[in-house]
Amino acid sequence: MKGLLLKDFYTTKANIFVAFLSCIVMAIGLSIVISPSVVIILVAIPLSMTVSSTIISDKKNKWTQFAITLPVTKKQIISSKYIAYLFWTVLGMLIGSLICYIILKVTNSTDEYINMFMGFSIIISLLSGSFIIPCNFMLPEENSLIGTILAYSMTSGILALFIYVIKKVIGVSNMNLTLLIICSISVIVYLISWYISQKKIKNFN
Amino acid sequence: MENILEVKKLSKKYTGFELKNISFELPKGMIMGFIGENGAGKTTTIKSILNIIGNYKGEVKIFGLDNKKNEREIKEDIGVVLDDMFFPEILLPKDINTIMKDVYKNWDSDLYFKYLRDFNLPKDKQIKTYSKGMRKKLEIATALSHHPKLLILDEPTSGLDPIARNEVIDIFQDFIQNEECGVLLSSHITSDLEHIADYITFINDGEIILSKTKDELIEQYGIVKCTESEFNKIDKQDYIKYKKTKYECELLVENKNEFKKKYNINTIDKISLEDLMVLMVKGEK
Repeated sequence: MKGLLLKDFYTTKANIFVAFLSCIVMAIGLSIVISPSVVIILVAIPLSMTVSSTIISDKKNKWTQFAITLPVTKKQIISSKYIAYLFWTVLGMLIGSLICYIILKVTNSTDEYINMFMGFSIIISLLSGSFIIPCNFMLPEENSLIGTILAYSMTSGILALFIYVIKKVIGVSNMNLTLLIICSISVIVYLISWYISQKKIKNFN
Repeated sequence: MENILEVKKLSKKYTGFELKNISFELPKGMIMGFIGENGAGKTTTIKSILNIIGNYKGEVKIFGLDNKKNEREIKEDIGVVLDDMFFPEILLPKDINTIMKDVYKNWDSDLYFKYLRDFNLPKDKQIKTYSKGMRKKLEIATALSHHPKLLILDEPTSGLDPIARNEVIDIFQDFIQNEECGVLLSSHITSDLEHIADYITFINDGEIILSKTKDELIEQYGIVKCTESEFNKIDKQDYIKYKKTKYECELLVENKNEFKKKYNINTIDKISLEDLMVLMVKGEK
């Protein structure tokens, strides 16, 4: 498993550095216009997306088929992507939070949206990851982008639906509590996706 | 003799292609050349043996163990080179060492870097800057660096110049000095196989049509060259396939000595694997 994660790290490290720098520049710019805490989401999501690019490049290079000849199981190959996705999401959130903290310190201001953007980072990353990872494994390379677009569209729809149901139907008006409930649901959906992918994705050809 | 690899009644269906109940055995200490034209089923067989493709029927035993039930254990002791399947090209050979240390229990970094030095492969250059031959050598170095007992190689010498091919063949021959090991080598370069293979298994259109020791093939099989009138007198059962040219007929015979006695035709050539392949595939019955 560690070998698989290392391979993904070596494959993406050059891209991650460029993506990371672009995100920082974009995030700092947007944080002035919107809110400094928007940095959290703007760093976390692109970093987690690098996992999607590794699945596509693995297919292109036929790495996945080569990996099956090594003493690793198909389940481990799939799990390595889910673990890497979680790792980059958490790291992105930490880096984003650190940048947000620095901006707030430098500008000597406060930001009331920190919790909201933290919550959105977890929800959007995990819900979209729950669809993107299996889609990238199962769809042909040329359709991977469609899978990604669909995953983000579905995530936005599901997020809006959850907020509506929790607020209007269940009657929870506290935004933090609403986000906490949706975050918990996102974690569960992610774990279910991980479990099902391990069981169902068998053909890497 | 104990077998390192046993394939029994392996079958797999694709649209337009079928692997039909193929069976063969590779004894320990031997190199088996696996030959056949493009699309004959060599890669499908190898992928089934390695359990890369699912939904095949039949039984595959490696080191006496079932390849599905004992997959991980078996793969610790197999070295694989597959056509066009390897690490992403952005990686450096030294990265492969770091990755493989965590993949194989027996990964030997010193041996890996020794192979890189022997093959003149720079460890700090991205794989994408390598030539096809260098890339192939890197794949072979990677396949050999965890002290495998069985090598499964799909076209390992394609893209290599004659000197590099010779180096690689020498490595396979050194490898087989350990009689507990074995090599299954699929190749189009029949001259390489004539040089190193102990067994030849020939697959055509998804069927094994021949699996024998190379010595048996060379000693027993032959190509008879005769005129058309001589050909017309020959019993169909006495040859496997024939090919007619403008001036003569070529017949592939299974037992050249018996044939010589029966028909009194002296022009019987020693068979090469290339002749065997061409006549088996293109010849008529």
